[in-house]
Parts: sequence; C-alpha cells; structure tokens
Amino acid sequence: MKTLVRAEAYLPRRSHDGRRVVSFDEDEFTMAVTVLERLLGSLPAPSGPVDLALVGASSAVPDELWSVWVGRPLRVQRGGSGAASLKKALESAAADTGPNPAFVVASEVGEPSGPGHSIGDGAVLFLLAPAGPAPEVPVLPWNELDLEDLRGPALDAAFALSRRAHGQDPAVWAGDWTLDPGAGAAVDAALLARRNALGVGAVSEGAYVPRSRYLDSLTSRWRFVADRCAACGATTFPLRGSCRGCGARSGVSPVHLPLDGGTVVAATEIGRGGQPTEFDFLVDAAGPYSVVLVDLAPGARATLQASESPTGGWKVGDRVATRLRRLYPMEGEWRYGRKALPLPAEGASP
Amino acid sequence: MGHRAAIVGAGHTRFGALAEGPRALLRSAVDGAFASVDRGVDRARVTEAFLATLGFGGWQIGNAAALLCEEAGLPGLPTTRVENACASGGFALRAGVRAVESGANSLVLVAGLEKMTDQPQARRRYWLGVSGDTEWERQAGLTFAGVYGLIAAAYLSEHEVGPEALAEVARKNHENGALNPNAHFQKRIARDDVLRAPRVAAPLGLYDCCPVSDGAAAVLLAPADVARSFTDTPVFIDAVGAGSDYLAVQERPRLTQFAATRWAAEEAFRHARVDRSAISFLEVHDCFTIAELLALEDLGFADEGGAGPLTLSGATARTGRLPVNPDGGLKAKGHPIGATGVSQAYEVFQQLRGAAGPRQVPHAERALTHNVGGAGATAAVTIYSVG
Repeated sequence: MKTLVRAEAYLPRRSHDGRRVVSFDEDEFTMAVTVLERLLGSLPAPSGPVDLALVGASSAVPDELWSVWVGRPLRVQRGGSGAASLKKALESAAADTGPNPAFVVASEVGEPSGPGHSIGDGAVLFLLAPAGPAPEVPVLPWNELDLEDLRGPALDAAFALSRRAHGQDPAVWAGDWTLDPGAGAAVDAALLARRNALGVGAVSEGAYVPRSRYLDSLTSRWRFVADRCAACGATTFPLRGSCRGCGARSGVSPVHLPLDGGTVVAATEIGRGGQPTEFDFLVDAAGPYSVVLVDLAPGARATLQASESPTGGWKVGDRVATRLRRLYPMEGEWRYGRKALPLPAEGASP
Repeated sequence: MGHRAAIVGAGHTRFGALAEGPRALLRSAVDGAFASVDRGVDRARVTEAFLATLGFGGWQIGNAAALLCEEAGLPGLPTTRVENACASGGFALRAGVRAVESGANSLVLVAGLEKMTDQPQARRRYWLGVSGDTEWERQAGLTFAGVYGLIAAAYLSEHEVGPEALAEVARKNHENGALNPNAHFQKRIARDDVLRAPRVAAPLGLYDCCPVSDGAAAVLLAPADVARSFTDTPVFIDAVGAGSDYLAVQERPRLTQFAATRWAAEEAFRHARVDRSAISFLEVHDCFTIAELLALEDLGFADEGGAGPLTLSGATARTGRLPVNPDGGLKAKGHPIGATGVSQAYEVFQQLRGAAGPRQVPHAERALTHNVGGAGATAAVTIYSVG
C-alpha cells in the first residue's frame, strides 16, 4: 500500500486581462514535465523502475520521451482525460505494494472559453510512497493558484482532492472521492484536436532531424547532460562520447549541468522572414521570438529559443531559467526542447 | 609547388532574380569563360572540371557535376561537385588550383552555380539554414540570419562599435554594386536606409543581409607556362589556404572570430610570401554586414574591434586605401551560393587585368579573395597577382 505524500501543481500564467493562458509552446506534456521536474531532482533514486500513471492528454506522448525525462526505467500506465481516470490511477497507485514511489500526473489544455476563465489548463502531480517513513523530500511551496475558476474535469478533481488531502491521512482522500465519474467525457476532444493540429504533419524539405537522432539527443537537450573528461577535466556539450578538450575517446562520463542559472553570451530577436520554415506557425501566431546563446557551465554552451523575454529584451550577461517547451512539429508530432526564460529573482517561485 | 596556376579566362552571368534556369546559367558562364581567353582555346583541352553548387531547393541534389560536363559541351570530362555551402566556390577553385599544381592537367574548368529564386518563399527559408548546425541551431529557430544576428550582438557588445559601422558596410557595397552591370542590386542606399529597415535578426535588419540570387561564374586555370600561350596577362594564383571549424557556433570558444578564416589566411600568406600591405584590394564574404567586419579582422587587415572604425574612415571604399568588395560584394552583387567563390575570382581577373570598367581599382596588382561556408564552419582564402 502507498500513501499520498506530496502534491505539486503547475498552472500557466495569467495574461494581463486576467485570463489564464497557455503560451504557444506549452502543452499537456510540457506542463506535466514542468511539474514533475520540480520534484524529480530532489528524490533519492529508486532501485527499480518508476511507476508513472498519466492522466489527460499528456498520455498521448510516447513512453520513450517520458523515459528520457525521468532518466530511469518507467512502467507507464495511461488513463483517459477525465476525473474518473484520475481516481482510478490514484487508487491503483495506492494499492500497489512495490517498494518504489509512484507518480500520478494529470495534465490538460483546454481552449479559452471566454473572458475570465479557461478550462483546465495546467498539471498536477501526486507522489505516492510506500507506507513507513516517507522519502526525504523537501516540501516545495504551491504555486500561486486560483483554483476556483478551473473547469477541466480531471484537473478540477485533482485540485479539490489535493487540497483536501494536503496534510491529511491519505485514507481520507481515497474514501472522500465524490466527483461524478462521468465527468471525464466533458473534455472537448475537438477543441484539443484543433489546438494540437496546429502545423502538425509538416513535411521535411531538407533540414531534417530524423526522429531517431532527435531521441538520441534528448539526454543533452532536455536534461543538459554533458561529457566530463577524466583526463583533462573538460566539459563537452552536447554529449559526444569523446572529449573536445583533449580528444580522448574514452574516460568521459556524464555530468548534469544546471538547468537554471546559465548566462547569456549573445542574443538575437528573429523578425518575420528570419525564421526557418518550421517556425512559421510560431511567428504567425505569436510574432518575433528571441534566441539566446547561453553558457551553461565553463566550456558548455547551448543555443536556446526564448519562451519569454525580459522587459527590454535579452542582453549579454542576463541569467536564464529553462523549461521544456514545444519546438516545432515534424512528421505528425511535436519536437520538444528546453527554452529560456528570465531567471526569477532570488527566492521567487518560478 | 611544381606548377604555378593561373587564370586564363573567366565568365559571369548577371546575378539576380533571373528568368534563366540553372542549365542556361551554367552554359552562359562557361561559354563566357572560354570566349574571354585572349588567344582563344580549344575546349577539348580541358581535362578536369569542378562544379560548386549547394543544390538549393533540391532541384538536383545529387550528381550535379554531370551537368557541367553536359553544358560545357565536353562529354567524357571527369567532373567533381564541390559542396562546402557558401564556400563551395572557393573550395572548388582550390581543388582546381591543386589539379593544375599537381602537373596532371594543362587546362582545368571551375564553375559555380546556384538557382535560388524559383523557390517559393517558404522553401527558401527552409533551405537558407540547411548548412548550419541542424540539430541545435536550427531547432532553436535560427537560419544564418539568426546565427549572424547572435554574432553581431556579441560583437557590438564586446567592442566600442555601433550599428552605423554595419550600416556603412552595406552603404559602401551598394555604392560599388551600382557600378557593376552584373550586380543584383545596382542602386545606392544611405546608412539611414540600413538602420531604419525592418529587423530580420536583431541587430541585423533587411539591408544587413545579402539577397537570394540566381547566377553562375566560371574560370579556366592553366599552369603558368601554358597560360602564356593563351594570354599575355594571366592572373596568377600565388597561394590558396583553407580551414574548417566546429559546425555549430555554440561549440566554438570565440563568437566574434572565425578561426577557419584565420587558419586559411595564415596558410595563404605563408605560401604567397607577401605582406598584407602588398594586397591592393580584397573580395571578402559579406553575406551579412557583420561578416565583412569579422573578415577584415580575421584576415589580419584590422585589429580586434578595429574593422568598424576602419570602415567608417572610408579606407575600405573603392577609392580608399584598402578597397573591399569593389564588385559590390555578396551584399549588393548578390549571393548565388555555389557561384560566389568563383565570382570573386572573376572579379579579381577583371581588376588585375585593368578590365573592371567604372569600378576599376587603380593600380591593382595583388588581390585576396575570402569565401566562407555558413557562419565560419569552412573558409577559403586565395591570393592572386598579375605580371
């Protein structure tokens, strides 16, 4: 048996008119990853596979992407996109008698349904641990949440549930489930499909990164893993399996570079006409975007698109945070990578 | 070097948005090269040929070399395609020079070609970044404009140089292009036009970028002793240098220097055994205005950060102390990718023979051409002299 030891939520930011908006490069997967990332680094590595239950549209993302993200073997279970699926996933995770913690992630993106509110944009993560001493995890502050205007069935249920469960006996939440099981069907599949169809299916015309190479690159692209050379100490990023400093072909081992805190060494803003065709959808929808060259660590530099820019634009010396976001669609699926955001001031919640 | 190579003929199409297809352009440039040989030449004497082309748009991405032998009217000629992105022409020229220097050939044809404007806008943008790093730079949303935008931002931040230095590069090259009947843009612009244009990749705007052009160029190379039988004024190739660097800018230690150019220049000057002060004018790879400033520094004609003041002083104007890009450069003459490096050699052939007409650089005796692939991943530098 497992009990709920932690709940974490991620909601898109509010626009200036008060609407909760999913930016163009966010989707169910990136939001689920964002909330998972807040927890993952602080957990002790389990000895076996991690149980991950996915509820909502993020479950459409294939296993290998989730595996790269978690960096560990996964046993993935997939539910539908409704509250009933969430309940089922939580009950199933709680009933499991295995020794490892389990994650349940619910994430949804709806369409803005009018001024003042949107339906179910966000992600909630539940961490369940075996009975006995809870894993040593710091309790992170909740995001600034305004829970009342959420309408998405799975998320709505998740928030209600986790609010009630927070600090309470998990047995209570399991028995206190009152949501209408039929509510899951209310997620408007057509709305989701319309948003997700945006540009998906673009056919490569030359500058083509095959899916296999994209998958190969994800350790570096998503987790900022680099090679550290035992002989000369140089860092090689992205991973090459050899040392760029001294040319050593062996004796390199992977190191995790910090995901946040890198420094801008150059920045440009790409105006209309300056973008590769794959990013036409982005320029059409959201206008110019910035690209920054960032020093992640000495000798390790990454070219990152910016998801947001500081007031007045990026400048050399600015510090960046990074988040997983959509890059562009290719061959029927979205490609994902980390993008840069202004690093929040010391102590602020991202 | 056993056999010093010399240019004995050169041909060039108009550059721009042209009605002609790639085969017609190639034919025209090659015919022009043969026709320019002072005492005439039997085509059948050519024993080796190189074609520089990227194959922009994918119209003939493989085996394009065969087109050169077809359009030159030389069936059976061994022909090799050279592809180093925008430096394809410079590297094809280098291959041609080596083929002559080896002693194995007495007449070598080098041609460069690109047909770009028949692609729809979206496909042009798709292809404009195919020679950059695909996995990282491209997926961050960069084409070459974006990569050079990053470099320009770093350059302006590192040095006490303002955007007017970039604008002056464009103004000066348009002024030169206005005198070149082959140029894509034959009109003058003011610095303010450059500074006020819409930004493509800040700090670079529309007028900081070279155009997408069609065009072809060709040169004929012969060993020095044979060259004298074709013309009294061959243009000798004193040295070629070349270098390559990391493909992705993010993997290079310095953003505001192209190591490939530095290595290529070092090799070329070492073999030519001349000082930089002996060079009468330069043809440099100004695909973006920032690239001309980097070139002046990397080639050793200005100190770090010194190319801006040098340009603003007027020294690089056609009538200045060190004329740079008297044909208008890529910026005004145009940049049909594979043709550019060969086109630079064409310009040197005209200038050193005193045949450049209204854009003639006075007293031109020695010249240097500089051709860059991508944002400095490859570079070729060639030094020429006459007499």
